[in-house]
Amino acid sequence: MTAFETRPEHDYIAGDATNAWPADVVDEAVRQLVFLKPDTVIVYDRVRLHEPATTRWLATTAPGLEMTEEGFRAGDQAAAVQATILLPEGAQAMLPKQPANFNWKGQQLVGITSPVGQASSPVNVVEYLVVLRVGDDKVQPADAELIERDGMVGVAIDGSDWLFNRSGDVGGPGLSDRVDNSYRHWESDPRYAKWMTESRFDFIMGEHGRAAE
Amino acid sequence: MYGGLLYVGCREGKCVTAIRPPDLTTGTAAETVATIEFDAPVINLEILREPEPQLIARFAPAVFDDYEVEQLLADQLSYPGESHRSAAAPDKTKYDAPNPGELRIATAGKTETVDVSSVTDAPAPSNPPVALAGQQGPTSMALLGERLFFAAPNAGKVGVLDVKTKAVAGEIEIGGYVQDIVVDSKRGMLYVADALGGRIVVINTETLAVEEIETPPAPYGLAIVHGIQLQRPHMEPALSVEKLFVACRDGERLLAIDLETRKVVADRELPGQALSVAPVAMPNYSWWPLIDLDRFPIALTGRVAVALKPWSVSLPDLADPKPYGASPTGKTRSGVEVEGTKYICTNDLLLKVGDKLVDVSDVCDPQLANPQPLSERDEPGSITVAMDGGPEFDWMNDRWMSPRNQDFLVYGTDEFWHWNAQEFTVEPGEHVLKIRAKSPHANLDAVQVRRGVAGLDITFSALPEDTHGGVNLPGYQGVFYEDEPAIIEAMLNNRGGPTRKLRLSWQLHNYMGELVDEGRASGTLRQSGTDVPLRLNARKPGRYTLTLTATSKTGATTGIARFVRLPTLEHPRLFFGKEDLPAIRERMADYPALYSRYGEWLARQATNGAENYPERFLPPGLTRDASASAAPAEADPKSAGQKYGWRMYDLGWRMFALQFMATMSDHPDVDTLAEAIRPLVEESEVGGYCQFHHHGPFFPGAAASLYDMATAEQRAELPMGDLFRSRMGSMDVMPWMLVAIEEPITPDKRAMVYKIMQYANLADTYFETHNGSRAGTLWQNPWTGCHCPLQGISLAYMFTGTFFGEDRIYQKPQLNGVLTFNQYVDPISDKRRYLPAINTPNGEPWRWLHGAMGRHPLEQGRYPWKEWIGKLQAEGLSDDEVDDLFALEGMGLKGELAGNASYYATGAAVPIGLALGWYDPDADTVTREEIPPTALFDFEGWAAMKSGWDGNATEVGFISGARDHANRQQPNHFTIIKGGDILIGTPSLYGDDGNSTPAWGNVVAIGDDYITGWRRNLWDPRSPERLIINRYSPETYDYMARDRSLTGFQPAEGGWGGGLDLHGHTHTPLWGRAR
Repeated sequence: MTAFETRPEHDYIAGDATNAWPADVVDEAVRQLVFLKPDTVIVYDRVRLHEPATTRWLATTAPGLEMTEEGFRAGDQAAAVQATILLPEGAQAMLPKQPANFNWKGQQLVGITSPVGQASSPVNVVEYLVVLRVGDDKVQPADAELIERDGMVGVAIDGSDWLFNRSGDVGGPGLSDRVDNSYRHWESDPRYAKWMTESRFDFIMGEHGRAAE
Repeated sequence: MYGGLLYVGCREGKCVTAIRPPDLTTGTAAETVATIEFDAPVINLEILREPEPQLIARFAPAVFDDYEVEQLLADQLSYPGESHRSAAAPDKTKYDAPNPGELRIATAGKTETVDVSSVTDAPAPSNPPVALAGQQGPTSMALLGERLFFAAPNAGKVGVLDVKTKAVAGEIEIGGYVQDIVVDSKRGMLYVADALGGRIVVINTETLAVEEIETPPAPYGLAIVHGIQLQRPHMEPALSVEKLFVACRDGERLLAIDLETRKVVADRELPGQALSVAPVAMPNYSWWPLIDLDRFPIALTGRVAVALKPWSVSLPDLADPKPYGASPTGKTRSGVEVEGTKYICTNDLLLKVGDKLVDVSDVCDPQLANPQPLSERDEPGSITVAMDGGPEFDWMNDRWMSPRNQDFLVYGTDEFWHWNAQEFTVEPGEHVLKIRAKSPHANLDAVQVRRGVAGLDITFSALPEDTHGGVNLPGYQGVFYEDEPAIIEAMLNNRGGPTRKLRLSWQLHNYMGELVDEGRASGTLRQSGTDVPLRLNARKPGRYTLTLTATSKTGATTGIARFVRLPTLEHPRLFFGKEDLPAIRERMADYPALYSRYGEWLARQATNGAENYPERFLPPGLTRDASASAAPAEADPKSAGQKYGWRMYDLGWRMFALQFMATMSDHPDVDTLAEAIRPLVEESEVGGYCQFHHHGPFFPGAAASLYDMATAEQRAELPMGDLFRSRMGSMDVMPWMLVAIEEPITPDKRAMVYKIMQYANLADTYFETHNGSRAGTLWQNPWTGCHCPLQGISLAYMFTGTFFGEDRIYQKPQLNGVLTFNQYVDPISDKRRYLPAINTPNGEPWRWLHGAMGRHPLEQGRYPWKEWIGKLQAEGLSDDEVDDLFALEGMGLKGELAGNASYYATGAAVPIGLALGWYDPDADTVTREEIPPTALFDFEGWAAMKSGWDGNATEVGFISGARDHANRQQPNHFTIIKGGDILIGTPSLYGDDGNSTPAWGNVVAIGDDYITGWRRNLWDPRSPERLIINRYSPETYDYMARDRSLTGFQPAEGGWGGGLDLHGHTHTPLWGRAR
């Protein structure tokens, strides 16, 4: 994990999976995720390949998977997820073959593929930007708009812009580029004072939970 | 040596050289007097003196991969062959041929012989073009259905035995000389090697159609490989090979024939005459053997090995080379006898001299040797380092277990770099350190340089010598008993530096990591070294770590010693100590009604006369079978052992409770209680187990607790004591060992106690690493169905903690941490039951007790025991009401009495937990709603992000961190759950018990080949690059073997996980999977 911060309104995390892939294939495989509480998740992946290769954005979904104009939908009456694909531009969700010998238990596999060297990206660079909104069976796709600014890419959603660096350090405006394991951004929460002072909460505060910086 | 010449077989040089040794008296130099070259690597020489002096040269086997049939390096001196001289049927009937013309059939203890001479009788071929053994046979055989095919070499036939009638059913005329036969059972094809005719005859056993495949001269050995099974079959089918391998002796070639097309698909040259070919055994996919990490990719490659025929040459001139009929496997020169004393190399850092074992680690342990510069033939890692144009060294020494005290070295720690950084001694002035990249992917961010004390090596020993000198255990640094003074002598060994002034400082930390003593001194490091005795303030029992830093003008060097102060060996000592008794009685006195009713309830239940569960209260005996014999009358006998004879936790607590109340209380029914438990206390048969795996009929330590709590007089007479003493050293039954160690504390017992301490240190190092800055796993992933984290690891903490007098052991962060971690990463609910298990770790009441002992406030709120205890303290309860309360009637956590339970059958354990102080009804409580809904677990690389703790919350998981053998997710995996519905989930979670199951990733997958690795999940080709702890270094096994020989201490199940017994069906180290 390369960045993390938690706030009452949203959590942000970034992970670098570059070294989970062969060194001569992948130069960068970074994911950034923003959880806009209570119902929206933004997932931004940037992948740099040493040489052109097929990439697939994969997700295992609840039953009821169907493709939509925006991306895909899965779930049932009790709970459902609507995904909106913003990058690669024009990409659509598809049904890859479910690999055998996994215990799917009724779950389904959805994928998004990108042609190598897509027009909006440098050669060998692939970006996926997907917004997932959850709710009951009436949940609608997020009203999300792709935005690009100052070498960053992101989403305009619910009146806010969420921009990510397209190269170099992770993060972006309002998003940390390092791991902050503290709860310092929760000061407005009524429970915060107890977390900071009562020994009952030592087990979760840990070494860094009460750090001011 | 022969005739004054030294004969040297050279593997890489593929030759034998005769050398006249130097004459030290005349100064004559050594001289090579003869050399003979071979095509194959020479690995063994043997001198035969009769009838003519000869030298026998043996060769490394020729190894090929199963798929492309490309030659590989042999990684063993020899490989077990595949004997076709016998056959075994699925019904375990065995066939062999002890005499010519006879087949022997052994089944169900009976043996009979069938005369097959009508098939085999024939003279040997005359004047054959190739040398043949001229055997009648049967020499090789193969079963196919109800027919046994056997070779009659001289007759050039294959005989057929009807296995039902046990009579010869026919013969097949082959011609030539039938050297070997095998069957392709999938296709019903019989393959016959005709060594005389240079052909393989293929017979369709149904149609009797015959084909021939021409081969090079003398096809001599056959082997069929259908496939390679790497994972358990329901997770991954076998990798298809479907080849017949034919080793041709005189033709010196290996053929691979496709079993489907029967065409030759590979024809490879051999470096000598082949004797046989056999598949190299693959690791057991269902239970992985103990293999060093660096051998893992080799072991996972399907291979065949060809044994090569030895050659002889005349002596002393190395002339007249010719193939020689001897075993391809030679003797190793592992022992000598001098004046009646045998000296034997054991290859585990020991020399056996007569009956005595001599530790030779200082000479033989490669970890204690100075790192050697790289040669041209070395393949270094990503970078090398060199000083001032000198030779290059690998960037680290690859040492993962401290050679001084056998603790894991954790990547990045000071102690890790102490053993792994390259050390250069340089004069004052400017120097050049050259870092050379050996990999195109190496990115050099920084170089860390530390200044040390040149030539200083710090070692430690315990004093006084009279007490500790007799402890025959390398790395022993002290077991101080009772009030013995804790004196550690620091030996500052000067390995070549000048005499220097040193400043010494030391710090002493206890088992909780708290600083308890420190000091400073000045001294002189003499050229002969300096010894500094340190009298340490280590009065309280438990484990200690001493860190000594020696500082000179040039820098600082640190040494670390670990020792333990062992409290008086009294009983009880397993679950609580004798010194705890006053406090226990005080606590019981605070709840008079509860304990009065507890004793009465125990007495009523134990004497109710019921024969079968659930009414029966106690097991009839202490073994699995005994417990299963009391299964409910309606229970299926086939599953009774599993359901009622294994992990019967509640039965264990009932036994514990009766013995506890009978021996530790003054309850009025004490005699009734003692009489009820007596048959079990006096049992001689006690079910064995592995604490870290199968846990036994009850829970680990349940039976041993009866012994431990017995009165001294009673204990001395208990038969189970003999059993416990007989298993001294076995960590499989750790509690047995711990209750059987008694005074006097001899040097051997100090060694055993030190090994137990090392186990506890390994556990601390490992799980503290996992815990990171907040919380982490206790071995398994959070959704395992396995009970091993609690019954194995947690109870091991209990036992070592009590034994060592570490009364705060459960306050260690990693023990509470697993509960914190699991509660956060668990979904609030899992409506579709996609996950194999939630609310882990499994197994009650240990889950409750584990959290209670750590005073985990979140766990405190999960259980209703405070209210339950209050009810049992109330006035005016009838016996029926008391019985209902102990039977937990109407309580949600109640379940039927059965094994493997993560619920309660009765409340038998609760008053014990209260009495022992494990459970404090008034301890702090925190509800989920009070805590942050999001938490990052930095080491595990797991973020649990929730919108809240309500039932309709959205939960987002993100996983991208260190990986262990129970890894189930690819880096950057994410999940989304809404109101307990898993909307973005994980498909790969089979019933999870520590084995490698497929690992999935909701990630950006790159390329088309990813799925094989994910599904197999056995091995990550890049994991060695980012090791954090390597449980599988060669030295880990070397030290275990050495110390087992010296002390009798045996890590559980042979040493899984470097001694921790983190069992699993494959090896994956703890490594940084992603960044």
